[in-house]
Amino acid sequence: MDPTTEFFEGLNHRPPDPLLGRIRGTVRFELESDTDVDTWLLVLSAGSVSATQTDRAADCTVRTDRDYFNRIAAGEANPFAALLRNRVTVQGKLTLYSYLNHLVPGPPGAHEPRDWVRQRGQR
Amino acid sequence: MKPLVSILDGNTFVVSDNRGDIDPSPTFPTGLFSFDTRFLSKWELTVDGKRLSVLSVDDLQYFESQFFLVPGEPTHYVDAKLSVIRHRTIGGSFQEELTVLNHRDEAVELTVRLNVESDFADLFEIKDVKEKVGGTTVLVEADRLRLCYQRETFRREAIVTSTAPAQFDQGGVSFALRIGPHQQWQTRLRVETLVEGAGGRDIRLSIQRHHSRSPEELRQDLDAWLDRAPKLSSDSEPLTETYERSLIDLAALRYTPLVSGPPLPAAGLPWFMTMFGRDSLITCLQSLPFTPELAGPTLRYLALAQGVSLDDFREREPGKILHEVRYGESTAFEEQPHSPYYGSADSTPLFVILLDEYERWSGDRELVQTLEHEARAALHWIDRYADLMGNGYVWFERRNLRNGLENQCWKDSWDAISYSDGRLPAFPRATCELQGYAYDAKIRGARLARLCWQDLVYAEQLEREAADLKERFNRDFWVSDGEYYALALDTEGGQVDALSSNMGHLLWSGIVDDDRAAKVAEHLLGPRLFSGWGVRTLAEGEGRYNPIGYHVGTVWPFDNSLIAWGLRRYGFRHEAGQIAEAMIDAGRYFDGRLPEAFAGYDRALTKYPVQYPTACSPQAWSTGTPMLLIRTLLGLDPHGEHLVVDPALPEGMGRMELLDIPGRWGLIDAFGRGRAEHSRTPPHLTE
Repeated sequence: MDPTTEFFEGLNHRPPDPLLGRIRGTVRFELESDTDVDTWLLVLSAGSVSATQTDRAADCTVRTDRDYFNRIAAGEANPFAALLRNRVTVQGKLTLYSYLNHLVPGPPGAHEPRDWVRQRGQR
Repeated sequence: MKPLVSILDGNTFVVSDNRGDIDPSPTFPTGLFSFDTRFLSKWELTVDGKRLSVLSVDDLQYFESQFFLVPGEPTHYVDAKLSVIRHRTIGGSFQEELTVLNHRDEAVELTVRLNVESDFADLFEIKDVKEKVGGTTVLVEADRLRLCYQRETFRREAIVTSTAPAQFDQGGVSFALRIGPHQQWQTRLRVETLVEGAGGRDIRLSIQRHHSRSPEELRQDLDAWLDRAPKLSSDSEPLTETYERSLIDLAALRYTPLVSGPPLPAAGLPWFMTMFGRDSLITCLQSLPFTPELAGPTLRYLALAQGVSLDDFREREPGKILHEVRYGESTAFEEQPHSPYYGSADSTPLFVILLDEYERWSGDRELVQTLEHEARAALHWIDRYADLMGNGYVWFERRNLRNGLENQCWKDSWDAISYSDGRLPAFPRATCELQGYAYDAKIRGARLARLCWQDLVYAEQLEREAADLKERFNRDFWVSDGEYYALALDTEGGQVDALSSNMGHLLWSGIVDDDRAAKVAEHLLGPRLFSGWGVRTLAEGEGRYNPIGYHVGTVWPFDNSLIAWGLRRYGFRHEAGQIAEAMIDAGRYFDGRLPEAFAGYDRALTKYPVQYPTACSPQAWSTGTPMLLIRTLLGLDPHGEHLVVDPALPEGMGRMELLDIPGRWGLIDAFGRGRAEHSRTPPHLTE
């Protein structure tokens, strides 16, 4: 399973998130690869998130190539920077896209601040 | 260098010399900027190949200015037979109405030309211009000139058009004119900036309602803004002047970030035309009694961008409120961390403080309920992620070693935190004002928990933690010998013992033990810290004291406004008035527009306050300063559904009236008169 599939599948098993409690809306992801375009539909509703491979119009459409989305899904690329860079394009409600930051993992290997301070000697 | 003229609308702004020309400058950002990118680095007007001289400049509005020019050198223009008017406005795009008037009684033939270039520099590159990674192309089309920059998928474009027939070429646009006797010629030039997003359209267009606003719309918007604000009338002309200037400047500094609807305060022109957590929060705190409409959107936006995961490069942690957002190339390519960057240890407690202060004024419990989880996450951050040493204090140490900030407090320059002898402490560092903010955030969080979240257990827990913090703080930070609070603690638990303005914030936060407040006030108004124009960031006599050092001796108006507020909180009405008076006096030398900072020279030495060399102006929290000072002087404070007015004006200030103060009570008026006050001033502090 690539990071993209893992990410979307994982969303279906997330506990309800109070921070997403007041968000309702749908986000369509169009992920291009050499041969075709994969679509995922994210439904955000009162704290719960579901992701399915449904081909349907949404409040917000996000488009990029699958390789790049793999990097976002793995926490290696930043969604906001990707938007500024036009590496990811967004049409419709940007607020919904910005919630992607709540859902994707942070960069792998990031430090707990206290550990960082404790490990100074080893750096 | 010729004096600079700026006009702005949100984070699109033009800075030019006083002829209206833009010349590339590595030291100060002249140009047309939008979204942290310079879209014009040259915009230079000539008539028959010669530059023009300025007769006068009218700063009509913050979004509009007018230049009256004549050809030739200043010595020759006395009997000029030609004049040129450049009338420019900014509202989404940049427009310049160019008028050439022939004063002769015969026709003239001449060539008017604008040399146009763009380097598409990221704002971060201006001081240190680098070779661009991407390529710039100039496309000459029949009816427009397109300057394009492309790096991979990143694309920015400046598009120049003219209403009058024009000849476009690689270097600009020319007009071959014949103007009849006593006739004039006119064109309207327009420069549009394109930040490319989906389908080749502007990212701002594909996402939200982002339309160019006409000067007429901007004028109406400004009038409505001024109309909503309380009306000040006062015997003190400098006070009225600085208040009116501030209202307009704050209007000018409103900007709409990509995701959010209503405008928020950006931090300052020209370097900081973007969202800074700390600056925006403090500006909202200062301006709540006057322009409360900024606070709600600021809180909502910061909540939306609150950290949820760890990120070393961006110094992000769950619950943390952002420090800075940028939109330029270096952010887009993750060379700079501002997408957003979270490197500040104070924005998170300040977020809770503003949320509470906002509720006290507005009565808007709905927002407090809506943001309950974010506020709790912010309070959790204080204990879980900011307490780097596990000893109950807020600390900071950067994890982004490439371009993260070393000092993640408001004094964020590298040398700002020092011992009295000038040595710099190791990291992490715990500056004193951060502990004050954490204390205040807990106290205010407890109030919100009780009032809006119906969580008594949590409220009591926060109050216990706050009481404990106050007790420890007064033990660990108090420098017994000198009788003041240390600037910071070091990792060994030792006191970073420089005498600084930071302890003024402690009064505002309420963390100071009552029996120590008089000593703190005495230091703040004493000769080492108080210059006569205000409280210095660092006291004279400290190892690193420098009256023109950014955070080590200059006077910052916003700092002084919080200090005055704090003094008032502890009953030092006279001292608060002294600071307010000094600031209002200083404002007179800047046409009412207090700069970011001015030099810490003694008032006896300089007859006027000396502006810090590269200070930002207008700057949001300097703009908010006169407002907070007025609040402090009038003693405005909400109590339940009422506004308490308890004026304490300096003797010479005369009468002050503030009409239509908005809040949960509707609109209320406040009056004050400067005369001898019965104050709690200790005898040794009276003059």
